[in-house]
Amino acid sequence: MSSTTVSTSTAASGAAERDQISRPPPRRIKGAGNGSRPWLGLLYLLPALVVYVLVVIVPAGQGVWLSFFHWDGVTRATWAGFGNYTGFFSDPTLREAVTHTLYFILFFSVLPIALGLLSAALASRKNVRGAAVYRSVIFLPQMLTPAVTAVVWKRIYAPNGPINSVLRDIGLGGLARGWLGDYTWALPALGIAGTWAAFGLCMVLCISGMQAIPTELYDAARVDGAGAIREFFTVTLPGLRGTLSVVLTLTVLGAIRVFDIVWLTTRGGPGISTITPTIVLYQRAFANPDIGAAAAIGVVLAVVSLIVTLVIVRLSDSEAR
Amino acid sequence: MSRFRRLRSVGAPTLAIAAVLALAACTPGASSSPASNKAPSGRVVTDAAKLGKVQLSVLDYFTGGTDATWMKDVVAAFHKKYPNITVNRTSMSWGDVMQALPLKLKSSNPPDIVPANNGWQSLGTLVQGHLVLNLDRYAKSYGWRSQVPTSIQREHEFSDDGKQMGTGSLFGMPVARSSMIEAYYNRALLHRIGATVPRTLGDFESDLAKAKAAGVTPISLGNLEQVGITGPLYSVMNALGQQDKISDLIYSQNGVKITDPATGFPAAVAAVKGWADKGYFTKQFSSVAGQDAAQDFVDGKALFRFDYSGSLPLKPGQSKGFGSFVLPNQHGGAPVATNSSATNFSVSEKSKHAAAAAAFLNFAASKQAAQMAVSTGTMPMLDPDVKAGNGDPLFSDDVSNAAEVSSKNASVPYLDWATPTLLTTMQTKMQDLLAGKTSTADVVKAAQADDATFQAKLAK
Repeated sequence: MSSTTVSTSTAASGAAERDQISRPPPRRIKGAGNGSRPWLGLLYLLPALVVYVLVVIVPAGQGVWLSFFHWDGVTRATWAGFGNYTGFFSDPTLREAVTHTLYFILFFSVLPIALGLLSAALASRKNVRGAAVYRSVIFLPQMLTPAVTAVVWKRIYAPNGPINSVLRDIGLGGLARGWLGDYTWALPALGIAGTWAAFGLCMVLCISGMQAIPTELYDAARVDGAGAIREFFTVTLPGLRGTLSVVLTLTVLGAIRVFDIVWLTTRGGPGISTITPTIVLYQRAFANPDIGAAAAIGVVLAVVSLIVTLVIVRLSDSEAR
Repeated sequence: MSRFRRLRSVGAPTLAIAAVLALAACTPGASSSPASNKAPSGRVVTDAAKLGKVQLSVLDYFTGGTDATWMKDVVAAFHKKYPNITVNRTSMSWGDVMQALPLKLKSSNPPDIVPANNGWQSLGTLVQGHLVLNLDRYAKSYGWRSQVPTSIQREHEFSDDGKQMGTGSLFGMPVARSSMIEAYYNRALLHRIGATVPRTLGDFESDLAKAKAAGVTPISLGNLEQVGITGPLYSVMNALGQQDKISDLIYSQNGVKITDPATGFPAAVAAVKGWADKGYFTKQFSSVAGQDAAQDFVDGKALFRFDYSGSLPLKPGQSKGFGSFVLPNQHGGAPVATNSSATNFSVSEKSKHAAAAAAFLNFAASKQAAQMAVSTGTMPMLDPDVKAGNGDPLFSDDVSNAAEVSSKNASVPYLDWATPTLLTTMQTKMQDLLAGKTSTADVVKAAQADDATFQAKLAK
């Protein structure tokens, strides 16, 4: 991953480009500080470390501390112990929110990675004219602000929006509905919007990962008589392990944190059918205000995110060895 | 790489634990605030010209449009009247103000005047935390109690311990501008279905039926973001309930429960559900965005719409096609409106210029400020004599609605002030009800449970 592989140009002939990229760039080996004076390195890190402690560690510590209190943000707080954390088991709204997170992991992570992998594999097999244009278009959602994305999808899913118009035009008017106001369909509808947004990033990262796979491996596979599918599973997929762990980490964390698109479209509705932990957090922190309960949700989300990241990194590391 | 990781895996938790231990010494919210909210006694200087040179800082959420124009005019007129007082405004969006207000008021140099929102979410909590000033002695000296209708005064009242709302001392003042839920109508469509502006609740319901029969959408509603339903629900509640019971419910006074039929809430929930079932609201309203529904109404696609004053997306010249009224009361008498000042202004407890701040509050609530509201095209409050002069029929309706509600003392507060969580509870449950997922009784029960939980918390 350390090589400069995020090249999207296809003008050069594929073979030459792959050849060039497959050679690892020269790495500078540092001898100094290796063993003799380990604290010297820390000294260099100090300025960054101070900033990191001030803006990340201290507020995080405060958040953990706050989560043990009942506090309205103004008057004297009262000690709550783990009272704010038991909500994850006793509060039906929060429980519902957690199950929605699992749905969102499917739509924000699994689906976009599968699609990204597929399209990257297809794109890398043949030079398509104007491939860079397609890639930019598919990557575009990544560059839009969530507010714009929300407005666009609100339009698309509206009772008189394009999806329903098409359904009616092709004689499937019976299927037309207000997608975001429907208890069954609102969650998948928002999920698809998330898939759309994450797909481009997954594809671009997969393509760059594939370009880093040495062509010799493909040649060897072909000599052994592997077809396209076999080639994908024996060469491409193992070669993408590092890339996939990055993509998986990014998208799963995105799914756990999803807030804007839900808040700007359904606010967790209809009823609580699209509510997410972050929506509950926002409501408790700023509307209710019950800052301890909000902090507890934040802490749990942070811990879960950390565990998920560690597991993904550990898995990809151990397999690589 | 592995070396660095090992360092981090030890370092981060250690640092986090150290930070937590450092914090462990303090309980959140335990700052050195004055122990009491009692008003200092004694007369105050009401002639602001005698206060010497003062720099007054004001925080508001009037960031744009007519809001900003009005506030700018008021500040300029106040400075003209009292050149010794300079008002420095800071404007932030509503959400930002609400998030930042407790911190700002706790800082060593808070703004003198702040727009704490009425109800428990903001003002009530700030009173409990002793962060806003008891304004009683200024009220006495300026005569605010006789100037402001009691139904509006109550919206700014709290007991000294901050445990009761709608009674006790004034901790804020309204400004001379109204924020009210009204019913808007399309003049041409009303004429087309052969109806007139409803004088009774029965008239209104028969207009709805006529519109439906004529193929016109009776009420424009977009409830995708859950917020659209409050307009119709509150209006119907005000029409069906008794004004004093509604107010007592919201202020948690005299033991009035939301299940009490006199509050109108159970009947209102049922009525709104009935209208939805009869197809009186915009088709598939649960999937329609609020702004789209408002735009449809302005474009002439629905007969009525319940909305907050000044919220319709009208282009210049469009307003002559529309009119407004407050939903008639089934008990007869003056129609009751969910109505409050466009902002509540409170004075910071730590303000060094409380007298000058009070003078500004007095001015912002004056007839002159109401006149400025009318000339910028926004709804005035407090002074029933102020008239709209620009020949805009919708605005004339708005101004006369405001005058009637003001002179008849017929305002009730917003239902969601009753508890900090009631708005979310109600919106969620109403969506469930209108989608046929739950019953009217269940909505009322959920609202009651929400209220009971909060009362128990308050009583601690």
